[in-house]
Amino acid sequence: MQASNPVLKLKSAAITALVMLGLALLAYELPDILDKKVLSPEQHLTTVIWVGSVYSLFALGYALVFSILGVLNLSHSAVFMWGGYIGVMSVIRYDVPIYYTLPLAMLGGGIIGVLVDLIAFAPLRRRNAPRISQLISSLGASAVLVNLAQLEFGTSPERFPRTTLKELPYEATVARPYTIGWLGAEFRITPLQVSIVVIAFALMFLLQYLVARTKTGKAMRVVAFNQKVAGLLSISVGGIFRLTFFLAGALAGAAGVLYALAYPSLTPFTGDEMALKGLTVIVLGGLGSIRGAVLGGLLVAAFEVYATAIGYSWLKDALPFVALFLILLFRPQGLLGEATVKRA
Amino acid sequence: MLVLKHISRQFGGLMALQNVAMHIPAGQIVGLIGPNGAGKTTLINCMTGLDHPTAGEIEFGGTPIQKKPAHRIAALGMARTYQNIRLFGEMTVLENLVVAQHGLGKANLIDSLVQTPRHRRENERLRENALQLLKRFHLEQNATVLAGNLPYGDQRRLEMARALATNPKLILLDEPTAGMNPVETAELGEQILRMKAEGKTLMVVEHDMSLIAQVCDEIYVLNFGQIIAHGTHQEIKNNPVVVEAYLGQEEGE
Amino acid sequence: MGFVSDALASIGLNEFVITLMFVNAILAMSIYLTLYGGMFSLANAGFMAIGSYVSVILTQSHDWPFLPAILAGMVAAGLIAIPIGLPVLRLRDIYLAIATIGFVEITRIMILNLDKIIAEAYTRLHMESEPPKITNGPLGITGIPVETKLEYLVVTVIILSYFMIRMHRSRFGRALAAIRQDENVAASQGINVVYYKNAAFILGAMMAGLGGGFSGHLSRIIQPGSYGFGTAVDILAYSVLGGISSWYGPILGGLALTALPEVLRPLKEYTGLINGVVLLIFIAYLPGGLGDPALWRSVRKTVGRIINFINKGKTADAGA
Repeated sequence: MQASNPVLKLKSAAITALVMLGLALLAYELPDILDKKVLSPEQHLTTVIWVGSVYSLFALGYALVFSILGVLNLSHSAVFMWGGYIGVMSVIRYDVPIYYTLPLAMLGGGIIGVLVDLIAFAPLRRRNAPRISQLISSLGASAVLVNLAQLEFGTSPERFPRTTLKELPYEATVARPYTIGWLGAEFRITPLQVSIVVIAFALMFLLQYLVARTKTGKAMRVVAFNQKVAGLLSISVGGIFRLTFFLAGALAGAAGVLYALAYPSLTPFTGDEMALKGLTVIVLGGLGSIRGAVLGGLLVAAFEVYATAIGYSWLKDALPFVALFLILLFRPQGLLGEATVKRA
Repeated sequence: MLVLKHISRQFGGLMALQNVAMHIPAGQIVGLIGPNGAGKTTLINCMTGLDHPTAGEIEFGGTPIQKKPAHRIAALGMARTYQNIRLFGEMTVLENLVVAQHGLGKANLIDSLVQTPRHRRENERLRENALQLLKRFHLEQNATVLAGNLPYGDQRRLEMARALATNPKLILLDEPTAGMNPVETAELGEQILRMKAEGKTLMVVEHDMSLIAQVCDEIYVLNFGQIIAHGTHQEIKNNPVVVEAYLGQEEGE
Repeated sequence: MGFVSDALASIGLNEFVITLMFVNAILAMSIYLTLYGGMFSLANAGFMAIGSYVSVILTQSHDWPFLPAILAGMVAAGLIAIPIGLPVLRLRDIYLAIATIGFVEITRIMILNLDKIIAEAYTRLHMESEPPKITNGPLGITGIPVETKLEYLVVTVIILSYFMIRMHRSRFGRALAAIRQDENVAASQGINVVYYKNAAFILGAMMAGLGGGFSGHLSRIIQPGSYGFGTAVDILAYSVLGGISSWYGPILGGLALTALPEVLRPLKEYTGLINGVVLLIFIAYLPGGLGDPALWRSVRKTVGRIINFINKGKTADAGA
């Protein structure tokens, strides 16, 4: 009903103005960019892919919970942070071999995810609380998790010890990238980055397979479609919910370990920074869409990398939010979502 | 009063309404019938501005309204009830009727902040109107009950009262008898005829025929988004196309 | 009075803390207005930042007196709310929440980088003069005169309370309540939904801008880091804890949630944890919040029962 003419005119005027502004800015900057050769597309592309794969893996948890339960779990970022700590601290404190940290963090993240469901979501579901209350509740859970981490691990940044990283084959540290020539372009990438991309995409394909092809996945989709129908088909709705939270938590745990491998600066607040990126990722891709989350992760990484590359490092932080804002206004179902969003 | 010319409403690939033409003359009661899913509610939504036709024109008292937002159409004098009752459940019965008269008031926020006489007089007037409506629909003893806690029949009556509260020229009733017993249906018929006697124009959307037969001057039949018949009750009753549409529906059920 | 303030200070509530409590009460009221109209907007942290920076820049660099400066901050927040609200308020619940979080972060990042952007523009446009420093980047503005006094805040809260009480019983307030309960029905009853939503959004933004002006003149420094996602969540937490079933709920929430960490100073380490747990408990088991009339009725009943019990005990003692 708000689609009355003045609003529509305003909207198209706004779009036109924004596009013109963008083109003008680009035209003005282009000689500069080309001149300085700051843009070496193939190099940035590799960065986009490995950073984006971590973003996608992380954001997938939001998308999964949203698609099955229709709620936004804002404690997901705190589970991610805990996953990172489980990985790093198990090496530091208990000398766990680095290969075991990934499954360990996934298991830990999954368990925390289920606990979050039990404490923050289940009581609200029982009394049919509005989605917004569940969002607030998940914020409370997030605060609890962040503060527990602070009490347990302190606030100074933690990292995987260098000595353990050296145990990895092929000298997998970030410091020594390999240069691969292909089709006349040069890609500089470390084995660690390659393994991050491989692990992230493997997990994402696994999830896609689980949801799309297995019997459990079918049950999940039925629950997402209609809980009453699921109950009639004697699918355990509560069980599916717990499974969903376990899977989302496990993804967060894995993303946490990969993040800690890539960046030597894990703090209890790492999750909060990622939360906003994760939200942007799933909004760009469409809130409940798995494929959308993958696309969104790569897009957000691309925004960041290229904004920095053309010399607007301050834009790096703002650009994802501007994109988020614009997407919500003009295509709230996201880039890959279906047009079922009610906008009044 | 209300004229629809070639109204179509398309959802993606689905044609919910196709080339619908209707005319609701002033002072009359027009019935709109049709099997479930025929597009009746979509049509009402297009008339009231909650939805907009993808093609065609709607004129209300000579003004084209097909692109106007709902509150403008309401201000022109159209009111409606809903198939599944949609009261303001967290407000009392009286408050429901006071807020319904929004368009009749003028007081702004500043008026109420400084308690101007205009604000006080207006509040008094709206309350008075609301109380009269309560009496008319036999709801006065429930004035302070939360609308969400009313028994079903009272909720239906409150919806009618709320539609009437805007002092409309045209009232659209979307399946007003749903869930009512025959006694209540007959009483509802009386209320509808009383509104007509007061000079209101009405459109009654119905699934079953008893109320339609009681009150309507003429009837339109909608099926699969198209008007398939138009006439008096007698004409409709014996129209083979209509009979088939309804029989097909019942076999399907 | 001296006795009271000493007593309060002894449990950790010194004058600064009490002042902060009232600032947060104002911020809590600002979000109540949009929630009352059914809009789940988290934008108020952004409007708070705007009010804060505008008023501080005016008092600090342009020697404005305090009162006109914070009023200017309030108006600035209201003006910016207009182009934001028009497109954003078409969104609903979670979508609106995310979009407004986006607005808050964009505002924070803009304030953070304003000087950089201006300097960049100066060099690109080959301007000779030294670019001005306005927000001073991440370091923020320092040496701000401490002008916010408890008296001003108490008066402001009283005025805003009067506003809220009147608003509820006005045509404006009734329209908002109707929109919250069913937007489409409200529109069909002749209520201009877009107008009222935006009006509530703008008024809420002005309140947040006012609160921001007060908070900016509370300690000697403001930094962009204090106005991000976290602040948006804090403001939301005040109103949730206080409850939005009554106009005074958010005030109680703002006061209580600010006081809690100070009263629990011995447990300082755990305050963040306690805040989170309190939020979880309230949203799960006391969804009406502190201001819920039903909560107070049951408290009164329980207290009455305890008093009865004690009295009975006494009479039994006396009997024996």
